[in-house]
Amino acid sequence: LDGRCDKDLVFACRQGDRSAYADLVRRHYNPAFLVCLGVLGNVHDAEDVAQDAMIKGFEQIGHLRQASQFGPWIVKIARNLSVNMVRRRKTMARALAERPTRPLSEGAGDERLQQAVAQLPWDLRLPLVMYYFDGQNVKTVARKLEISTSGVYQKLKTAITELHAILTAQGDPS
Amino acid sequence: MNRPCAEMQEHIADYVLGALESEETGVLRAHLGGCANCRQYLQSLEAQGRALVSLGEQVGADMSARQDRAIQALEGVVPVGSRAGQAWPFLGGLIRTAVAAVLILAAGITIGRWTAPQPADVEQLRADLEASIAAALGPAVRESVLSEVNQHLQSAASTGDTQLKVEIAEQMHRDLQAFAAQFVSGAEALMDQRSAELVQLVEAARLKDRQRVERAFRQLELTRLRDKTEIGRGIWTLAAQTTEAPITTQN
Repeated sequence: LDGRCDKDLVFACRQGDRSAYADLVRRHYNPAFLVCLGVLGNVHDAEDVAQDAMIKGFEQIGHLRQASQFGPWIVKIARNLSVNMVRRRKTMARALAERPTRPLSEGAGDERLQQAVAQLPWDLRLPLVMYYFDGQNVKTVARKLEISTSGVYQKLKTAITELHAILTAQGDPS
Repeated sequence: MNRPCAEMQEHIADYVLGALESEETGVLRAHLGGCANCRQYLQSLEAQGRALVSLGEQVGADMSARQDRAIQALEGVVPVGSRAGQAWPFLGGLIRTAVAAVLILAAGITIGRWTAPQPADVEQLRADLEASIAAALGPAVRESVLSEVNQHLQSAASTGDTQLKVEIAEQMHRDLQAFAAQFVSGAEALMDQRSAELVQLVEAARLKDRQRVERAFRQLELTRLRDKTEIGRGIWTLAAQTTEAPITTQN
């Protein structure tokens, strides 16, 4: 990866350096993807939306006010796109029949756990994924989600107890 | 699986997340020593956490390929604002408005010439209207646009900070858009005012012409009556003279 800071990469990108944006993607794709996964609950949709977020970030790079804040900015774009997709899904689900929940990632690990995670409401799944999948501490999750630390603890606590309840109901006492 | 004790369930979840106060941790540990259900619940939550971390690692294993696909998807995408011809996006609208104003003006003049009884006043009005609009808008527009552009270019040139340049460019963009909107609005208002004046003047010219024609008709009628009287008098004179001097017939 380029040794330059985000600010320099953003400036280079604005001057037409496309490889600078590729470096920004490599640097910030993972947190954006995990936010998408947390909101959407499956890997395929998360990848599509994370990709859209990267494209939108590139198109709108001239509108980023603080170049050093590229990371939070692109994560926010990813989150907004994901939430919009959840809303569209709900509308479609109401219009059509409710589809069965897809597993988080087909072929990866414990399928029952994936199903259970996918069944959680997205506002509980998002901090859960950020905390466990990305190894982030509660303070970082709180800062990224722009909520209080105690709020994150509360959501995480609810998420793990609900997840446990879903798994127990499925006959998986772990 | 048996349920944990209701009063301990939240404490166990807090403990797993590392959010339990030390004093409460001591109480929980003491409780766990004598409660198999709560111990099992704690072990279950810890195992669930490990499974989640493991799942996250598996999902993240493919991340590099996902990044490559995201970068490939950027091909052909162009940042907004770098497209040619987008630096002055309001100009298209301004030109359209100017063309519309000219067309309205031309239509107004044509209708005025067609309907006006005397062309002299309308021609004068047209010239006055054009001169008035040009005098009111032309220099102001030129001066304002040049002043805005110069001000922003000087600010941009005097700084070496690229971020500041970008911000200045954006500010200039916004200012010029606002100015264009004001200009268009001002031009429309002036056009409306001038059109109203034109209509009033044309109406006044028509009224004057009608009065002039009426006066001419009255004059004509008076002349006709005067001529009729004169002719009557002439006939009477001729008749009197004819009576006093009888016609003699020659054989």
